[in-house]
Amino acid sequence: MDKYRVPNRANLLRAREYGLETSFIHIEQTRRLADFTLCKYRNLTSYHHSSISTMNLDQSESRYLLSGGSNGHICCHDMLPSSLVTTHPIVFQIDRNSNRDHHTHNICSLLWYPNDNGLFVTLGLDKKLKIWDTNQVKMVDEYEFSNFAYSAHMPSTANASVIAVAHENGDLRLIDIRSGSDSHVIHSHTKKGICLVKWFNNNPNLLASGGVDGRVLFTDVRSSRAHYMSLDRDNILTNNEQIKSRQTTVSSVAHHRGVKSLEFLPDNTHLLTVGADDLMYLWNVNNGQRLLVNYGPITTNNVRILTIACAQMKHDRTKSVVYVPCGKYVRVYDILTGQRLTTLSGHLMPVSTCIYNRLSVELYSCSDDILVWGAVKKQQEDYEISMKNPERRNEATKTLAQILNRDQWSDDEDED
Amino acid sequence: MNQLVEQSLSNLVQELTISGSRTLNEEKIKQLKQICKQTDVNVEYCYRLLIAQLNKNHSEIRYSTFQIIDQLFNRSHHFRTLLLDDFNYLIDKCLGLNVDNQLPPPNQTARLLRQFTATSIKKWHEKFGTAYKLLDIGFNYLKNCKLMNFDNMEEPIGITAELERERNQANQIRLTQKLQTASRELNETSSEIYSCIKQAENCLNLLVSNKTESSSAITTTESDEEIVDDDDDDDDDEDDDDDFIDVPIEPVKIKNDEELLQVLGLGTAGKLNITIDLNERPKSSLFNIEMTDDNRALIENLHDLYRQLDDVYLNKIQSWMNIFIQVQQNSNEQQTSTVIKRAIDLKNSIQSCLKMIENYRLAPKRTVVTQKPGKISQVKTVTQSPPQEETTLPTLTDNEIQYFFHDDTQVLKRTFKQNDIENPFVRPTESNEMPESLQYSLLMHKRTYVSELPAIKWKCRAPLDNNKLCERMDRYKCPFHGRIIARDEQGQAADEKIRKHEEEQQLARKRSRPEWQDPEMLEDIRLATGVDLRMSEANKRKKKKKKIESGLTELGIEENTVRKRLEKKLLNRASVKRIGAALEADERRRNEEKFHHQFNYSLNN
Repeated sequence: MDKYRVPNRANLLRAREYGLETSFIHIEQTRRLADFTLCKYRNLTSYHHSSISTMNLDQSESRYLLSGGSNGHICCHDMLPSSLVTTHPIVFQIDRNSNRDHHTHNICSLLWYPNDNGLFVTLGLDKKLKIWDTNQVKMVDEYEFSNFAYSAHMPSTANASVIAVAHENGDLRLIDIRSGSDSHVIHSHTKKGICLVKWFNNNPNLLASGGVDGRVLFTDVRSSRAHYMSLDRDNILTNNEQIKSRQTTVSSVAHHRGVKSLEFLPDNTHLLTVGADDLMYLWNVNNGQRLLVNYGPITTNNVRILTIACAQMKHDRTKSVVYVPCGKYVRVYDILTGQRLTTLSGHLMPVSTCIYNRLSVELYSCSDDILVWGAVKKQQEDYEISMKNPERRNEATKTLAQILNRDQWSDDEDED
Repeated sequence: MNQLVEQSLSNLVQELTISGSRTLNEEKIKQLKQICKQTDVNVEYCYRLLIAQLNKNHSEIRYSTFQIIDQLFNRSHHFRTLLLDDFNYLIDKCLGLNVDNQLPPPNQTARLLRQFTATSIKKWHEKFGTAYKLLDIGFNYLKNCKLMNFDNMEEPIGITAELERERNQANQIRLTQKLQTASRELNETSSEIYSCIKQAENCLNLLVSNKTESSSAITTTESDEEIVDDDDDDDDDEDDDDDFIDVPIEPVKIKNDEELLQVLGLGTAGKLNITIDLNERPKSSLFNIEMTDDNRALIENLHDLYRQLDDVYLNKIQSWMNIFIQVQQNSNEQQTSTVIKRAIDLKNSIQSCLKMIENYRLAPKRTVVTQKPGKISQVKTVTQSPPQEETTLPTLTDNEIQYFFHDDTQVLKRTFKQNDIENPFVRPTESNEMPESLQYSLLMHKRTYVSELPAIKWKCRAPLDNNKLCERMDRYKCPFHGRIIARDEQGQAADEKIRKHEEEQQLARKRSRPEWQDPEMLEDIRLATGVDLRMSEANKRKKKKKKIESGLTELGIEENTVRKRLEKKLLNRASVKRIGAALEADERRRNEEKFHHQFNYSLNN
């Protein structure tokens, strides 16, 4: 926790002298990362009446938040004015009433096109992958599968156009949206199926896939081999000479049970995985070794796919934080030490997705409702105090101020 | 925080929550609020206490606790923020929406708690929803995800309940449609039916007036009352009436009393009382209308009308009434009652019309035929009943005799003959005779005879405490009153000895309680002086656990039901042991028997 606190001034000056802390902006950002609270006065226009299964924030502007419900409804909120008191409007929605091409089943994946936000991809449990034009909210292409697909992902690098789809029967399908071909299938996993697929952050040819049997495979789509690396939980990174590095074998598994989450760290060298065995592991991507970091048990009951959010300071890679949905709470861990920093509570149903907004340094989480978390504790308190202050009270916020101000011990008791 | 304040707060919370009453003690809650008002530290301490109380496994505690929470929530901002951080906990403990985590007993209070919590949360949301994000989230969660109806918690929630409701609604709509069509049909056909009845009546009028020409003006609808059989008036109408000569007892209809009086020459009306038994009048001679060429058409028409009324209209009305009743059961609306009344009126008028036709013996033949089998069956049952009562003696039926006493040597022989053996060493025996030993073993062969016991027709009839007689019907022995013996009307034993013995026993039971422990006297003393002198049986136990006085309903007490008492009797150790022993003996006997058979078999072969 200490490294996320603002150092006192003498230490700060000394640190600058030695060139450790380069910018006050960095210090402020670091402080914010580990100090999230619920933004009480920011509301999203409510839309979903069922639980929300997944969300995605566009990468180009970090502004539009797509959310997909378990009944197949999709909705987009504009998150931009990230001031203290706002209500975020709905930009568009796709459901039975507004769009003919809506999904009829649970939404599994929502993807913004990485380069701009004029296009997004949705995958539903109705075995359909749809590509949408954002500006007209119109479906432009549709792929229908014969098997259920649980997850889809698109590489975030420039001029990428291949969507990877994870199927329930263990097929890994590659769809090139430029040519419209969906014929390339990789049989990398067993028949039990694939839960998750994720492209590498920095390489449009490599992808990681997590299976129901707990195996995590790295695949190079250019090569003819099904996979070039399989993560093994016994292959650990230590200084102990006696432990030899283990070669990956057929029997190597990353988790005892199905994989529920895969997330590459922003530094592109580490991978975080969460399994149904309630464990979270940190891996080195380059050699497949597991780092011995203990995060403690992470309950993942009932949620099919968890989306965890990682935040890492560019100037200091050791300052990296992960937000993990854990039941009804969101837990904040320091990635490299495994220390639990805080627990964010406010949801009443299991949280499925956390999304970190890099630009405005805030976190979005969803269960039955989307909540916004930010480092606004101080501001909120100031706001409440200012509201209590009678001079600055204007008409619009009068009721709020009245309520906050009222510590109303009834009058009859004052007499005696 | 001050130790003293802490102590008093915890005392207050304890006292308030374990009172067990539905409302909070005004005085104490006022004190509590007074303390909390002082600082937020006190509020926080109080909050911790309340949260701890909510965890208790007793709905009355939770109910009282939630009432305090409601009081404080409406007053303190600090309390609100604290509670909203733990809102999930509150929902779990006070609403019990989770199947695994339901509200504790007693159920009555649990229901009350749920209702009160729901309405309170709704009120809170109306009042503070804008200022407290977590409250808003919680409320929306309950509304959208748990589909909770805040106004009526009793209503079941969830998708199945929704479906059920929809089905009910559809059913209701269907029923109302049925009702509408039925009532419309009723309106349409009622005039038809009435015209039909009128036709029948007119037909009847014509027929009857043909028979008795003089009474052309009589309205036959009330014929039963006006028909009078009279012997004395023949002298008056004899000259123009020929038919009367054929009839041995001449019935004539008289228009009214005055005419009768005139005929009889009695001017003093009112003094004379003539009672006429209408039931005994000789119907056969009266209304036996024979079918002639003249009235054939009329009678046939009447038959048609009768069939129409009986087969078509009555059935229709019955089906409509079924629909009306169904509607009325599902929705007690007023509109159905008028329709039902109409239907009943219609039915009654049809039935009276039909009855009238039957009285004149003009109904179609079919009805007579249907009556015959009934009579025959009645006769049959009468003849059958006496032998049933006499079957108390155990007798063997032919089948049983065949089974138990037939000579099965032939069968055995057949089984012992081994003609088809191909073993070269064993030659088939030539002789047809059975070995001596086999005969012997056949003799020793045991068979069980099971007879059906006759039905029990007596009751125990031992006098009970509530001045009634024991109604148990056992064969030999009542489990409560011992061997069943002959008793008189009051339940006293017929046998002198036994009666005396019973009386003695009763006296002894009375004596076992000391005289000064007479419950009535003690009650009087208690009322007068306030001292309870009863020797309580639980004296010793009471001393052991002296608890704080609480008004909570005891949850541990088992309900004193018939089942429990029976269980106590039937499943106590002694009886279980006895039954076990009996079963074991039975088993052993069977095993020995088996052994005996085997032994015989092995010895004799």
